[in-house]
Amino acid sequence: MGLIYGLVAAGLAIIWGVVDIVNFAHGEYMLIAMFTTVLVSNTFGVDPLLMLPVNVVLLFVIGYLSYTVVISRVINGPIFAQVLATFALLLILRYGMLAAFGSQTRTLDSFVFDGRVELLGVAVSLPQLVAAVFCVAGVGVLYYVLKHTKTGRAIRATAQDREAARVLGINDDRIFALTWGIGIAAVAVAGTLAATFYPTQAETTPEIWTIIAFAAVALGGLGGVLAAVAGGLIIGLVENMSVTLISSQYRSFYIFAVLLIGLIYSREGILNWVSTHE
Amino acid sequence: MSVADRYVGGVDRFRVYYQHLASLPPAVQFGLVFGPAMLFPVLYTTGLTSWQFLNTMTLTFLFIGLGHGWNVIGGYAGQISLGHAVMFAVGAYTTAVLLVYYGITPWIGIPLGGVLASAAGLILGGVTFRLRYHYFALATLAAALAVESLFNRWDFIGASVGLQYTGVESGLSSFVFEPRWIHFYAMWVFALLVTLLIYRLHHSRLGIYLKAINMDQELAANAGLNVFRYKMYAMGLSSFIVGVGGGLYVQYVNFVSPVETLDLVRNVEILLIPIIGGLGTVFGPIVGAFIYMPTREYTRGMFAGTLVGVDWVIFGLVLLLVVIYAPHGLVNRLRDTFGNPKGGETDE
Repeated sequence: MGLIYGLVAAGLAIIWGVVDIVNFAHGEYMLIAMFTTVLVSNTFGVDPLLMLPVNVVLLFVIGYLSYTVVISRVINGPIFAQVLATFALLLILRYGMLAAFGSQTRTLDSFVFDGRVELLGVAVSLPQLVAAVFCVAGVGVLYYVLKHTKTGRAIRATAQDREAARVLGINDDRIFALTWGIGIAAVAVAGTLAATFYPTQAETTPEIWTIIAFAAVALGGLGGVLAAVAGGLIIGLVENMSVTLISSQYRSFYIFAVLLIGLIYSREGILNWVSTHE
Repeated sequence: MSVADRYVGGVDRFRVYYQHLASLPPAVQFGLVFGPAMLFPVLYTTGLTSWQFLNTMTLTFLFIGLGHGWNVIGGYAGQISLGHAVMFAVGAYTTAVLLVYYGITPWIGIPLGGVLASAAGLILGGVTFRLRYHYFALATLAAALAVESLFNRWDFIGASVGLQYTGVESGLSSFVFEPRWIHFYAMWVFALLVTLLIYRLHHSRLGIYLKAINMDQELAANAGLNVFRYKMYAMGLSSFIVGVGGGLYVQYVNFVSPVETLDLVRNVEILLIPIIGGLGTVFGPIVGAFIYMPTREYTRGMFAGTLVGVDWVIFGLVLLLVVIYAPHGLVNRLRDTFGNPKGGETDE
């Protein structure tokens, strides 16, 4: 679970760190992937895992377009215009899907990897295990793209200093659009995998995921894929531990509390972390 | 004459109208907004307008007040709080709990709700004011959602079901009026008082301090301003207004629940109004409320049933157009387009 959190958070952290926009609609993009997975696989009997590449491409395009159509127009505007722009995206995506797919909760009918396995003496649900494996792979790919490809270097350069990057001939608008595409594509992986064991509902599902991603980023830090993943793992741990130790009734409260505490205590840490890490 | 010529002529005529309006004394400007509105309930009781219209207008005036309240902290001081639904809920719940459980009149409950909301706001501010920009927005949002999940489980206040006003008799002391259109005047008075208060604030020393903090917090601090203290003043005032609004709202709908008061959307619609209208202006929240509320109420009515959700999609699109074409709000946009470029006029 923590690994999926981490991947969602990594997508958010990239967009936040590079484009300097908090994407309030993050969970909604994830919901797109969850819906396509559940609907296509339930209707046509396609295995969810085959939807993975489809969703990655689809959401990369959606993310890219979100930037060029909407975000690029407010990127130089006041900060509340940016907050509201992503909130408007949230409304459009969330309620568009509610209107299109209805309000019923959907779960996946069948999955190649179903059931449970024994792992080191602990029973683990197989879909979750598969999800974890693919998440690690997803994080690895993301890390590689950012660290070792030309585009990745350009993205990191733009994140450090937009003006300087532009002087060096980097088209910052294109980089931002690519960053949105990549960040949202990371969410596509997480969404496809989450759909295999997590129920999908248009109104309630996205919010909790967005908040989890925020919390993970607040704990981990901006712009760093691995730090965000670490944040996600911590959230997963805290959630599991508090649910077993205290009570599962307040599940979402723990996450909010972690987010709040993370924000308050790491406020200097986040910024310092970015500058020392790059 | 080509279409383009006529269009330019139209713009010029608008400019003349706008400058006429802008040069009127504030009292007349307020009168133009609030005066005709006094007749809305009369229009309803004589059957000229529908209940939907009056209900929409009642909520519009409530949200003028709420929008002003948020504008103090968000528009003047420049702190994007996404947690004002907490203060709204504190006001609403205080009023409801006192009335339903203890029979204490809302004439006491509503102001007390405002005071408690103020206290909640100060706690929230004390914890989060060291954060800036996105971080402040996020922290306040997290606080609001944390409070929502707590209220959802708190049995004393009805948990997720909320509190119903069953058995409360209508009358002056219970502040539940029959017929319901009387509540319009409660909202009207609330909106008017808050507008006058904000007008005073706009020209006061505190208002100027807050605008200075908004422009450049470091500079304001270097100039000897106790930034934290003035932010706290703004938060206290802002929360009080929103808390009183919450109390008035619960008296109008006679029902309070976490979803109703603390939902993500509720958090955001409080700030949509001044942002649509224009941050840090006296007329911004008024313009914003008159755009937001009717749009919301009427589209919701249109798409009820099978197409639930389409109304929000439409609203999202409207919102996008506003932030793209008038990122500083409609009032500021109008002033930039039609106002006298030489200056000589105030923000209104």
